[in-house]
Amino acid sequence: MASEERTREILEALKDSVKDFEEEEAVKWAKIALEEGVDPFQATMEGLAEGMIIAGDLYNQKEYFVPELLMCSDALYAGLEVLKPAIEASDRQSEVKGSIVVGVVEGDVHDIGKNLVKIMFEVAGWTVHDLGKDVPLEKFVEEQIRTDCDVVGLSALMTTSMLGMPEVIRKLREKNPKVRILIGGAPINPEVAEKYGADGYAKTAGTAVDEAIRLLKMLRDEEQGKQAV
Amino acid sequence: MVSSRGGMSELERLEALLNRERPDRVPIWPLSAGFSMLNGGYTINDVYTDVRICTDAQIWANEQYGWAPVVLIPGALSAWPALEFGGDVKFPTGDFSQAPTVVRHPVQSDEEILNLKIPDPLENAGTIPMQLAAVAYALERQPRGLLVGLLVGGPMEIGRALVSIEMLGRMMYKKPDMVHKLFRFATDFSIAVAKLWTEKFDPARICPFVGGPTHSNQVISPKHFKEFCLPYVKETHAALRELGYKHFMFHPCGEQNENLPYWAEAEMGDPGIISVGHEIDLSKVAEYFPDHIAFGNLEPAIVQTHKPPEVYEAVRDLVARHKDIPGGYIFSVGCELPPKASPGSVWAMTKAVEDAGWYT
Repeated sequence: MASEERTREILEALKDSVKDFEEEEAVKWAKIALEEGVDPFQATMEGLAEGMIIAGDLYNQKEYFVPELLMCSDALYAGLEVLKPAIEASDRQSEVKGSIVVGVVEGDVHDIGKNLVKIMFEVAGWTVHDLGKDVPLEKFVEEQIRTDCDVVGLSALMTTSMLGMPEVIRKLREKNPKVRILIGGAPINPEVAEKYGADGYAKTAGTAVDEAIRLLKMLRDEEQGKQAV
Repeated sequence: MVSSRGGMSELERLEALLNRERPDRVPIWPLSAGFSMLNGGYTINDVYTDVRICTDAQIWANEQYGWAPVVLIPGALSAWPALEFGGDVKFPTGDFSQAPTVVRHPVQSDEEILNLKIPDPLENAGTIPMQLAAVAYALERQPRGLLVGLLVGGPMEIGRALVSIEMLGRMMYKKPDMVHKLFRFATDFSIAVAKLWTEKFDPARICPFVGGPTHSNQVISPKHFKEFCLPYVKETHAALRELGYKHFMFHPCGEQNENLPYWAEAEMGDPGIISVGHEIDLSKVAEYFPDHIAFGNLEPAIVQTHKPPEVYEAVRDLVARHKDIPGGYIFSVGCELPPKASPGSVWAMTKAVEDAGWYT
């Protein structure tokens, strides 16, 4: 079992390997973590995932861009490959923080942003149901019901495809008034999100998780309030 | 809209600016190819696939609303040139799609990058026969006015059509020499297509469309733009000038503020038209491209989601702030007039320029 100090050192190395997109380092330190008895779940969440969160922040600060995030995610998944069997073999339950259905709405195949959003949610400990791109509007509703997810995230890059969003939002509300809806994409802004009846707006992949956490907290506060009454 | 004050025609206004003279009023060129199709009862698909409707519907909308006589032949736009190299492209269908997209990239490996060859004969490849027919038809239908009829894009646009953006992004770190090989080929291809056009048409009548969204700083860093793209951009634009193209339509789509100083090192035409989205302030255009015409940049969502009085005020404000840019100014919507914008909002947009855009 690694000492607390050594554990911190390993977690830092895992974090840096993702942030600095060093795939080989990520694999090396993931193996060291296992060899030295670091909890693989902790190595994932406080090491690898933390590095990806920093990368997301750097993207928001315009220090990282799409190629850099792709490289960071490669390092993340390379380290994860090493740690995953140990996590599955352990009794440690994943601390799922929420669940989200994501997809690019019908008529639109621009999925770079959606894919980044997916990565950021995964590393933040969310269960992600990815519907892909050019998703028929009804499919979002079906998937929300099937998965009973907390949040639905819709992405659009075109002014025509964004027109499908209010329709999806209306249908989702009809079926499940509790679900929280987050939208984003180039033609969307906070004002449009409000007009369309969305609960939240994410300007970038990095801010999507924070916004979803805010929505989830609101949802849970409401539920607790109802129970208290 | 016929001007209540008379004066120049929209054609004369546009020609004045292209001759570096001041028109009597800001011209209106709202990038309305998709809108024009729906306005005429056609489909958005027609702008990409029907040689005649593409031009006719644009001319009709320009006349109907009193906009500048400009026709855009978009070719396969954001999917160019995937079809020309054996990829698969989906052209827009249904209620919500707006542009062609690559559904299978023609290049999947380094070896395929190294084996890329310009199709021979080039004029028979992919969408090129249709583009040539569309340009010929547009020149015949509109003897004066501007024809944006040569899709050039830039190295990132061609690169991401040939390979996926994921592959291209990773190559920038893992195999930078392969990016240069891909962009070298993209440049040779662009120049070959531009040359083919000059063999068929008078290049002075055709305005190449250069730039594109994949160069944006929402995708790549300014550093990567400078390292990977700028040399090829400069080479391509210089070649276009040598081939006789006079005016360029330059559209650095998306957030490209940090790229602007680099783009400004390239030829942009005499003068060029610098078309920016709402992410770039037009004052930046004036700063980096003082000898060119500023073009833009109403946020598309405003026309689509706001009511006519709000659209009117937003356009008035934009025009009042930018009409005196020294190189000249053309009003437009940032990237494209939303095809499904309401007629009332489009009318309000047009009226606002008519009310606020006068110089005399």
